[in-house]
Amino acid sequence: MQAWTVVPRLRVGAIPPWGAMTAMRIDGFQFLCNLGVILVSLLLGTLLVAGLVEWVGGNAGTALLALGRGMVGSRQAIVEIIIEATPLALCALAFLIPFKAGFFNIGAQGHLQLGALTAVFITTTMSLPALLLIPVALLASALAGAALIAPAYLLKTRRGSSEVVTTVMLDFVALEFTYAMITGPLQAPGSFFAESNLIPEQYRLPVLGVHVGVHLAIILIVLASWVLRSTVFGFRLEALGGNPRASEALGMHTGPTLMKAVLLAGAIGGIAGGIQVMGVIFQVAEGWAKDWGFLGILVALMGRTPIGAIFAALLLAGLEIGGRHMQALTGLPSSLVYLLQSVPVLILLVLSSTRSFRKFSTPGASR
Amino acid sequence: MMLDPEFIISALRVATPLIIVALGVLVAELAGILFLCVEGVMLCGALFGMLGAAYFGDPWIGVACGLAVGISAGLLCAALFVWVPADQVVIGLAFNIAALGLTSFVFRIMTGVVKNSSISMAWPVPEWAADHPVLVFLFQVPPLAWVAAGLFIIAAYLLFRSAPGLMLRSVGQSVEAATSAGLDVLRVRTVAMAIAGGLAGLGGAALTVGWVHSFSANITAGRGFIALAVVYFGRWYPGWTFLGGLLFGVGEVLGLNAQVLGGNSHLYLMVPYILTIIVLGMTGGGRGPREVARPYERD
Repeated sequence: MQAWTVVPRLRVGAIPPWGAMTAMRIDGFQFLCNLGVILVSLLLGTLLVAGLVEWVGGNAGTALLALGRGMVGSRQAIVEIIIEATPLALCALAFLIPFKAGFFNIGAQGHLQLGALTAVFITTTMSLPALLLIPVALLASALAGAALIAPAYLLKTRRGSSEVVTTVMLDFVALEFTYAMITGPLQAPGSFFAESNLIPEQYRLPVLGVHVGVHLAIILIVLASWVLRSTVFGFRLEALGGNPRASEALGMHTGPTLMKAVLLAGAIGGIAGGIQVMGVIFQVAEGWAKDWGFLGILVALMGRTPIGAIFAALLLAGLEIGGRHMQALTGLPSSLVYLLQSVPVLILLVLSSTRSFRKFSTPGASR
Repeated sequence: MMLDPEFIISALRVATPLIIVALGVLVAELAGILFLCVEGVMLCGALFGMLGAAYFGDPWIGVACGLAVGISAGLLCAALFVWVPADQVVIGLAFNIAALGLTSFVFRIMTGVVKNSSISMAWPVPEWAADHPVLVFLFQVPPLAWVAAGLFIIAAYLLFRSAPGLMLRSVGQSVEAATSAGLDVLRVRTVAMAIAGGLAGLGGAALTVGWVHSFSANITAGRGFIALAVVYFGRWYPGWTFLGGLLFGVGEVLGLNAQVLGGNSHLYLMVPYILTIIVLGMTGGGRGPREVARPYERD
């Protein structure tokens, strides 16, 4: 038994807001500070975008009202938001897990692509009982995601190359590879577009209210939340992110810990692609993955914990769905949604990294 | 085919934006800043360059607009990265998405202005040169390619053979050493970011004004990230970065002409990224500026 089996209370960075609440380890003051700064940034971001709308001659009030109606106006919209939030939350998880250990995984977009491609490849070429093939396909997409991120891990640990750059490069490798496949060997026969075959009915994810992928994603996120907060592995990750040299000096095997975290992240990103393609889209076509991989990073930064990421993903997905409604009603371009999604996160990041906020929100901290 | 003047000129046209933006990334990297939001800055330069060119009817004014917007965006980045200081990776990514939203939005609003523009930067071949194929070729080289080459020579000299360049590089190697030598790290980095942003905006304008002659949402499509790859491919040497930019441009032209060559265009487009990863694998990260992506806070 190692000395750190009983997890002591650590203060590495700020205690995350929603996660802290769910785990019933409420550090009330910090939680309120973080929630407050999130709300302030949302408000400021919305005001900025509203100002932009007014400036180009639109009516910001009508636009925001249409956006809100589109988000919560109907049952259909809420279901759509939940489905849209699933890949976002999983991509956020793929960023968060290695981020705990100080490893920036910018590659979720690539994991999505490759995971989806693998799932489509398996379900359109093999024929097995559905109960067997669906898990196999999801597992394979997880493996594909993990395989894609492996070079980034190896280059980081063996050669000291920045993982930020390698994961971005791998993103584009996966993107071009996927497009090469869906315009080449995996292109739907006779199709003029860059798209794969449709996944046969029997291999699509069954629907229980929403498709099963959503349930799977929630299970994965809750599991990840538990692993990060309450297991030795989670503790090691946090220690590694806080101070790698100290953890090594304590005798932790930092290499395997980081490797597990990074491969896990790739696998989760791959599964996200598999779920999306087997549950919602049923084929890989040009532009199917939108910007989920990159937006997932925004979700992770806003949510800060796996559970928090669920809320943040719902918010960003809601903006996306509401934005379509807004475009239909007011004629304002839906690209406004990108601004609504990113500007609050930018403000949040800036506000929470200012020195005065850090001083204010962490009582007793040295800086 | 490779020696066909037409092929060389189209490769130069494709490589020019890449080379200019890569130079911007190089400046930022040498000053110790991971310029991940280069994609967003490039996109802004591309849009406003095109708007300027269409509005004033002169491509060179458009390029100047791209440069000016790039400098402002670079200063905004400097405010976030250097003065706050916030994390360069995550702010960079959020900035890219915001820039994508802003440029697509402005483009939709002003779509009439951007579309009705028929601008060309090409120099006419004068009569006295029309007989010599070499001279004709030199006149056909896109003007911005000459600008890019000139910028590279100036930058290589300034960065590695002058006092301000030494200041910039020392800030990227070790902030502690630079501070104890009496340098104002924040100010040096702010200047570096203004230069880097200006070059990224100029590169974006070179993409729209100098090559495509139009703007569409997300027209850069990851070219900023390719420029980042070019810098890592070139191991932070200006000369190798320049060659890397040319090489990636050739790769892209080959990809665009994939039907002629046989094979899938996307496989050609994949090559630059794989090459970069291989180069990173062979040489490691040892030579790069040490302070890249590390936020520095003055006590």
